[in-house]
Amino acid sequence: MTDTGITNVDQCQKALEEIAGTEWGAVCKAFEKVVLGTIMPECMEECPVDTGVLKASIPLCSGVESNSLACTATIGAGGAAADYAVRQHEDLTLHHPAMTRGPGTTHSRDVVMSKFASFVPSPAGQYGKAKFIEDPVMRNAPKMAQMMASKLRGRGGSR
Amino acid sequence: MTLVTDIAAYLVDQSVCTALGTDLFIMDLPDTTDLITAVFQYAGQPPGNTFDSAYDDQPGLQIRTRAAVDDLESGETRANAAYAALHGVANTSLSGTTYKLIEALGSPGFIGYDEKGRPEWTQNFRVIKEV
Repeated sequence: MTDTGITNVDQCQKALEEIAGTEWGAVCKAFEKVVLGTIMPECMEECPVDTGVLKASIPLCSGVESNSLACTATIGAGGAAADYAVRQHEDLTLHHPAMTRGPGTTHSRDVVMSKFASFVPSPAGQYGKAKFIEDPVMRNAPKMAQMMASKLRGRGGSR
Repeated sequence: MTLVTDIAAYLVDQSVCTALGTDLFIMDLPDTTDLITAVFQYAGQPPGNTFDSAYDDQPGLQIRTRAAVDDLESGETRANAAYAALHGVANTSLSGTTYKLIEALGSPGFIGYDEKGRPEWTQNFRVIKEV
């Protein structure tokens, strides 16, 4: 039998299982913070706005559920906007003036662009884009573990 | 060649569509023809780093299908044909570009009717391709 030089595997496994048992709640909380505190707001920022009903439906259709085995997140849109939510998300031919500010809001793009002397904010009105949920989810997916680790480190744990 | 032109050529090659500009369009869904397939690219996922500073592109691909009024069957058949042709393409050269994977993110989804009452479907794919 090959000697791997690795010892105390059983103890390591037991320790990891103990950590998983005691820290699972914190892991779920970190997951919730990343999903609802980081990704969902990006979805709302990119959501097309005309009346605001679609954008307002996102928090109502989103949430995180957890049990002892799994954490599951849902980010969705619909509710009172159900009749047009899918088309707004999927139709890449719809024209949305490119990510300018919506009525009564200051879009983060405006904050960045306002540093340039030539920047003239677009008039309030429709804005947003298709794929307003899928794009933020997909671009953040590879960073999920890193973002969760950051939240867990922020707890000031001793491990 | 770009993602959308590669995929359009492949759909013709696989007999899903007849020809570009007749029943197949790129980044556009013209009003003229009823039964039609359109190929779109969108953001997808960030690039996947490989080795030696190389990376793979991971764009999003959308296939959109429209059919004539009251002709749900033709539309579903066309959408499913594109699904069958594209899902599972792996390590394949399309128009000179290596596609490591094309993977459906779901089945063709009905998105409703256009202003003329024609049914429409979209299906989204994850793509991993060499730059």
